[in-house]
Amino acid sequence: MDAEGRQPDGPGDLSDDRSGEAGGDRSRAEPVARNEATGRSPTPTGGEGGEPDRWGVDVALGAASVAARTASEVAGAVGGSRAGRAAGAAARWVTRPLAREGEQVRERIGEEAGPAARDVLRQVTPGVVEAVGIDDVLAAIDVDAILDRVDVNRLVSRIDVNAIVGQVDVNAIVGQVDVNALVQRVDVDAVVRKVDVNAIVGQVDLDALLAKIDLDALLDRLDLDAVLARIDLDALMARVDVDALVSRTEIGALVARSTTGVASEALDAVRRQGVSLDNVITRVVNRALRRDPAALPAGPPRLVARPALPAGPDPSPTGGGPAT
Amino acid sequence: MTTVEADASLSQQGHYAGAVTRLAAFVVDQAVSATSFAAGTAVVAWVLALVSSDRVDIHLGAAGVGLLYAVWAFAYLAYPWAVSGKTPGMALMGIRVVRADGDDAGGRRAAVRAITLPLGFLTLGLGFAPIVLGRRRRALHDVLAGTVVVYAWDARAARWRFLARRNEGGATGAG
Repeated sequence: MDAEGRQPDGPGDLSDDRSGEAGGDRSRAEPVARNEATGRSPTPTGGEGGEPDRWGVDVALGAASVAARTASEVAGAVGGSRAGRAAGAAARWVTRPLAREGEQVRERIGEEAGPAARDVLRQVTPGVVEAVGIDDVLAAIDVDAILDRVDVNRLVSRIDVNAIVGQVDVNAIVGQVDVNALVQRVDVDAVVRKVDVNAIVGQVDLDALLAKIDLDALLDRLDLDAVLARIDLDALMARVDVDALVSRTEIGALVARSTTGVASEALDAVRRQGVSLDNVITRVVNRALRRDPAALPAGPPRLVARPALPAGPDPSPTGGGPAT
Repeated sequence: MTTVEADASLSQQGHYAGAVTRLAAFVVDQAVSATSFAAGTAVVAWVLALVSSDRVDIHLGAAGVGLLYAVWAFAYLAYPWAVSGKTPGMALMGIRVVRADGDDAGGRRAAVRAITLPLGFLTLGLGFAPIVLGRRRRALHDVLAGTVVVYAWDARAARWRFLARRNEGGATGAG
């Protein structure tokens, strides 16, 4: 390649360029200079279609290989003879100072090359990292494609979750949680609305639940006096259908045995008839006098205000009960 | 009608007694009183005849017998009213005499009531008219004595006895 940037026509040009050291340096520098000027990549010039640098190296390596093979063959042929061995020994004796100096150089390279290389890397690496755009590199990576190639299930199956969880101090984590603040942020009403209470209750084994309850202990804690004090026994008894109770239970039989007799039955009948006739006359009179029966006094205040006595002996000393 | 209302209509214990019940009790009391007086006088006469001779001849006359019966009637009425508030006839019909406020009548009121009882007859029965027409069913002698007559009979208990007898009779018949 000449100074005007003309491309070499063939290997002959390159061989000519590489024939001299100055010419070789110029031939390697020119494509770079031109690339910087034009922004184009260098064009292959050899008949093989390769780049000029690679072509020249290939030629040099091919020549070295041929020379080494030739020298090996010659050395094998010559060294096998007695004269060859004598010449080799003489040459080794003659080149002993050179070998000693070469050995020193090799050892010095081994000692100094590592630290020097590290110094070079230490000085160069920040510049390289700075020069390389990590974001651009990451943007160029197709993460989805990488993840598609990853067998996540297999990856997860190799993880011992129990061991991980076993190393977690749950109490310490919970201890750092402000439960009150967390609860205040929870819409409890909304949560409760989503709960199917019937389904929950349906899953509850009430028999088992009740079996765990100590009713004796529960009753011991119950103040029955306070409970009974809150009960209106009069109202409670007023709701009892005593007629049905007497008719259906053995109480009726007990009452019948205690009052069995024609006299008592006849007495009840006579009294019942008398009260019925009294009520008839009272209704007639009230209707004739246009009186409101509800406005009339039923009896003396102390007797009417007191609830009706139950069946049985009259508790009063004068014995006001039925004469059975 | 509910059960409570039925019980209220059945049990009239403490309510003012009506005319029919009181009349029935009075009739029974008069029958008992007259019978017991007649029997008493007969027994007394027979005992006197036994212990004496035919020479003893007692002639009280109508006035004397009437006075004696009045005393007997007073005792027959006043004493039971003072003790229990009811004579045998009233006990039979399930009524009793009490003070106007419901307390026991007591001896004095019982005596006044027994003494003033004939006023009802002396007024040609007008003294008994308030039993039918009065708001508290008080006769003249009740007003004078400060008493009233009330039911002492629990009709509800009688109904229970009736139901019990019917229930037991049904069970016996079934057995």
